[in-house]
Amino acid sequence: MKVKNEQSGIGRKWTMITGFGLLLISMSTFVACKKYSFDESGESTFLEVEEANSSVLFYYSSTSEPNCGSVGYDQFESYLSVYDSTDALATLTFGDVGGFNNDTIFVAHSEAFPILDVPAFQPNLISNGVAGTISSHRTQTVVANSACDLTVGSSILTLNTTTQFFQDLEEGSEYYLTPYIVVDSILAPQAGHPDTPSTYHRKVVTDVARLPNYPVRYLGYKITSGAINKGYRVNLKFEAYRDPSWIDPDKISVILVLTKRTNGVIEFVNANTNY
Amino acid sequence: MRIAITFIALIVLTSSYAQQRVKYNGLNRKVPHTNSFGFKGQANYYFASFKAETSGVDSSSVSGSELMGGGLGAYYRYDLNENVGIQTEFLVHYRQGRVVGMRRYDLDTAITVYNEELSAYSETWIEIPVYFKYRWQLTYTSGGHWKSNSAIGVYIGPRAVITPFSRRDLSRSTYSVLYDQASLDVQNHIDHNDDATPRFAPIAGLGVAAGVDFEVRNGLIFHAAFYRGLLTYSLKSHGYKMFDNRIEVGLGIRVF
Repeated sequence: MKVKNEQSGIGRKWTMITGFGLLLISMSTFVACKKYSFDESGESTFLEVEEANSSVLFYYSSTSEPNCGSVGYDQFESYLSVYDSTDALATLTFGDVGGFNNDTIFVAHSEAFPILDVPAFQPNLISNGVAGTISSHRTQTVVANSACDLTVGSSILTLNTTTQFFQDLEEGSEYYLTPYIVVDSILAPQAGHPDTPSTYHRKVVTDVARLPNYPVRYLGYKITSGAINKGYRVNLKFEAYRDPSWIDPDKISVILVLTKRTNGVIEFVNANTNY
Repeated sequence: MRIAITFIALIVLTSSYAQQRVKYNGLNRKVPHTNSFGFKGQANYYFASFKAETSGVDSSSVSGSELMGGGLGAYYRYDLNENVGIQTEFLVHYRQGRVVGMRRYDLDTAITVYNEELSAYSETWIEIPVYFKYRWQLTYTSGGHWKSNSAIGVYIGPRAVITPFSRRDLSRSTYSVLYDQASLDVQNHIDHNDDATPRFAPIAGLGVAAGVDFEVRNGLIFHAAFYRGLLTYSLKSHGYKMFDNRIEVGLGIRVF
């Protein structure tokens, strides 16, 4: 008799456990999943930034140096034929090519990235082999890149830029953006060139675009420092003076160069151009 | 459907009867075993406290909210005497909520960045408390015989926490002011595929809980407790700490 009672007790017990389980299951259905997100309606309009690496190749030249009009000129032409469609190439010229800001930019760069003699070619702000440096950079991880939209007005050039970071970056470096104004085929004297004094100077950096109400920075405007999140984007709008002699708007272009500074040392990050 | 299941479950629970295992000590007398085992489940109401990390930022804040969560598992109690016992449990606990952390960086006189991160997270915890429990059995003997009856218990003790699963759905809003020009960048539901730390919670935690329960004579247990986490349950790398505060209310069932 005792055994029978225990068995029926056990049966009731499991009935109760089943009921308990049912209750827990029903409770769990009250917990709903929710999705949260930020309102995107107020987001800025960003330019599309390509996740790709390009190099910048600066040709350091002087209007008074005959080798720049002969060997250097020809060599830059040959680099243009190879790299102009994929990378950003420009000439940093010392000498009068029309009263532009090129001398100041030449001096700033030749001192920051030591250039002792001209003609000289400097890929990605380092004195190294051109072909190897450019091809090596192309396969590196893309840290950041910029894109720009250039509007050529009658007297003002307007650059809308977007810079995007493609990696999470630790604190310790500052990132800078330099928007170079580049004008192709400026007619000016060039020692050592057969066409002088009417030599077509190729892809001359005439100025660095400006931020309204802020001083010009020939080695770049700081855009961020500290830790950077992957995907971070920022817009900056620049302006530059358009010289009346730049008649053909297709000859005017922009090169964007991203650099980073770590403990005062400047390193190339990426380059882009709108041509 | 869930209301129907709840209704059926409540009927079953209140009409059924679970006998407590007893042992005979001769002369037709029986006393309860010194150990008990059962299942329990609970609904959790959270009111976490937040603390924003201030190092490396010029200002920061954090806020959040959580949905009702729940847990279920089993308990085992060993009675040292008629009143005092030690109870341990093995609970699986699920929770989800959201937290928004804001950090402002004045990087330069011309650069200010406001970074807001919205984390919608879910966590599955395994909780193992060890309680010291005191019980008052409302009537535990009758004519020299022990009889199963209702009991009120209070308990307090530490709780070890393991969080094997936690994930977050991260959205980020970055408002930058550079040289008087503003940009608002919104990234919702950021892909974690190549994120080295998609986890939201640390792997282990510790807390302390205190509670009361009432065991009906048929073995049904009503229980309520307050739990306070002593360690953060969000990774510090997110930029803030979260300390758990919760009230747990639930039901249990004694098997023996």
